[in-house]
Amino acid sequence: MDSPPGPLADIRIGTSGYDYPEWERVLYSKGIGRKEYLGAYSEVFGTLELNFPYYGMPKPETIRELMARARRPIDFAIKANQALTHKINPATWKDSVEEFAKGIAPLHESGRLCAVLLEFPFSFRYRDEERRYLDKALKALSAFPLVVEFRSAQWFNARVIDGLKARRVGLCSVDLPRLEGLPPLSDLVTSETAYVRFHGRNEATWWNGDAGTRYEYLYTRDELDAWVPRLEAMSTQAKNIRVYFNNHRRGDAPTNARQLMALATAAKLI
Amino acid sequence: MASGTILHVNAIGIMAAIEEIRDRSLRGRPFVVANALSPRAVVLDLSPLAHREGLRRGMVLSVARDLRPGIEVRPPRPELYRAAEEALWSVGLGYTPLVERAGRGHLFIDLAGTRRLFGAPEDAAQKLRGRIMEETGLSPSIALSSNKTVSKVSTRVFRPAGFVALSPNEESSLVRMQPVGLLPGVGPALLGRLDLLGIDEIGDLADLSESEARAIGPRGPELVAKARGIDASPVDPEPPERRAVAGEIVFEPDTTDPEVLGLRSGALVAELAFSLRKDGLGARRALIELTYTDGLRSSAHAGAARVLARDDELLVLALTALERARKRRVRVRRLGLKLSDIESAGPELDLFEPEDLRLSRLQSALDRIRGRFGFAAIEPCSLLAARA
Repeated sequence: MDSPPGPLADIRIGTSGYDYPEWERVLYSKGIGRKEYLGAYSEVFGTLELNFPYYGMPKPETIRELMARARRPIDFAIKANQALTHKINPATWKDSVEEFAKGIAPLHESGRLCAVLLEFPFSFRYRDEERRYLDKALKALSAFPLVVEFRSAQWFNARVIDGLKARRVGLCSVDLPRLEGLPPLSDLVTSETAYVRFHGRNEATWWNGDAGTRYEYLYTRDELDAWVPRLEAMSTQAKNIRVYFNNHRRGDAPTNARQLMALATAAKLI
Repeated sequence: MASGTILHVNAIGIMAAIEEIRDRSLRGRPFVVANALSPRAVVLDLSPLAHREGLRRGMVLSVARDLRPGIEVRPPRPELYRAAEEALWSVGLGYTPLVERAGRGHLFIDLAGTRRLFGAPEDAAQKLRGRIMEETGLSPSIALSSNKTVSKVSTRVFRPAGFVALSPNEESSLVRMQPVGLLPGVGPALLGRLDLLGIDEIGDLADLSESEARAIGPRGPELVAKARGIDASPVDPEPPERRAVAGEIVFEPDTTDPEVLGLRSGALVAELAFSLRKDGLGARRALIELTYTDGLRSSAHAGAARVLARDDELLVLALTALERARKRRVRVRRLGLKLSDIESAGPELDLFEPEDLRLSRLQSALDRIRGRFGFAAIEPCSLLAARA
């Protein structure tokens, strides 16, 4: 017997980070104070990617405080610390895993951790040493729902994809400039959680800009519209879809996140 | 970087996908599609979870049940699957007339020249994907590149339900890194042979020299070209039922001799089959048309469940059709043979199938000689005698 149609997956759209004063008047009321940002954010979006743990190891008390600040029970993705992805020290990375795991434990225990994102840089290539490290890191963090983001196209091969599926680790789909060596324009679900990051398509500043200008980009409606069938296809394979906009300059990220939410709602995906 | 325009739509596991669409309670559960009432039922299709649990298409159902006791079995509903295939085809035609059916659940679509109507190829591909989901509920893997081989390899990597769009300068690096078994035309037996040669990735095959390529087999140079991402074959919009290769024999003198009819048919089959194999194709259907001395005609056809590419397999098919067509004891003047339902032979064309090793080697040797010296360079002695 045919079943009634309806949303197949829990799709939530948000931003990478929230603590940006320049988002006042875009997402936050002018002068509300930074301690109120997360509460205001949680009234608009259902998920948030926390990127501060990338720069400094998260502390359990900080994480608890953040959860308490949200006015609605939104869920969180956490970007893994750079000691696990960009500045890997073979002698100490296991200690870093322990410290990181301890820090995010309150979120995991509360059931509000949707993913731990391991973002590997362009220099992290498909070579034996890196492959072995990836395998060990995924094992060490296997207690958490994991997603990997590769910035090098070399990782987009069937062996890696099959390996991620076998380990139930998500492959992050990225929207970024189409430059040689970067991941191809693609999406694929490899675990229960599908994960998408929008980095902007600023070709001019990708290699030459700084951490801010690299992501300076406002998506057009047409560019976002093309993502609707992509999310719909993902929803046939994943239980959860999390989408984050990382084009944070000038408040472009919350603007685009709201636009995509409207498009997905109109398409009855949300 | 602009994407190529050749789109491959790969609705892998179309039967199981349709069953899931019709009954959402099946989602995320292992199940197979099989005719459980048949005494030697085989698994026709299966859900991704059943595949993960070790079940495979073509497996005998009783074996599948031993491996996974209590597995849910859904009876096949061919009319639904046919309707879905037609819908896929129609959606493609809404974007361009250049749509090629390439086997069950597979389409090639050339989006060249559609930019003003549907935007850049990657945007058009997404619109098309959306339409497919809307019309059929299916979410196939789709891939864009500059040719059919690269697009097909890509949908085999980004599956199920994935998407990838490659610009020409991304193609080679992506294809080279994939396991060689994903290259169209490399079947299980050839894969084993390549494994012995230490060829694991498509890039290893691409790096072979011309002489090394020939050593793999008659299709070696073609496979190496494909491994390098070179494939000039156009998207062929002709529906497969209209795609055919045909030839005829006029008997002089007219004959009723079944041996002569059979031998000459064999020669015609060999010629047509050779032309198909050169393009990596095979056929599922043979049609024989006889014209008798008195001008009357009769015809009959025979079909096969899978694509046939070898001479001996296609000859059996043609002789079956001949036997059905020959209803009169009157001399035959002309015999026409048409091989149709042509499809990419894919793994079936693998010339190193262990169970037919001797025949495969013979076929391989004949193709090599004919490829080098022309079709007439080698013929069976019996045929020479029949002509004498």
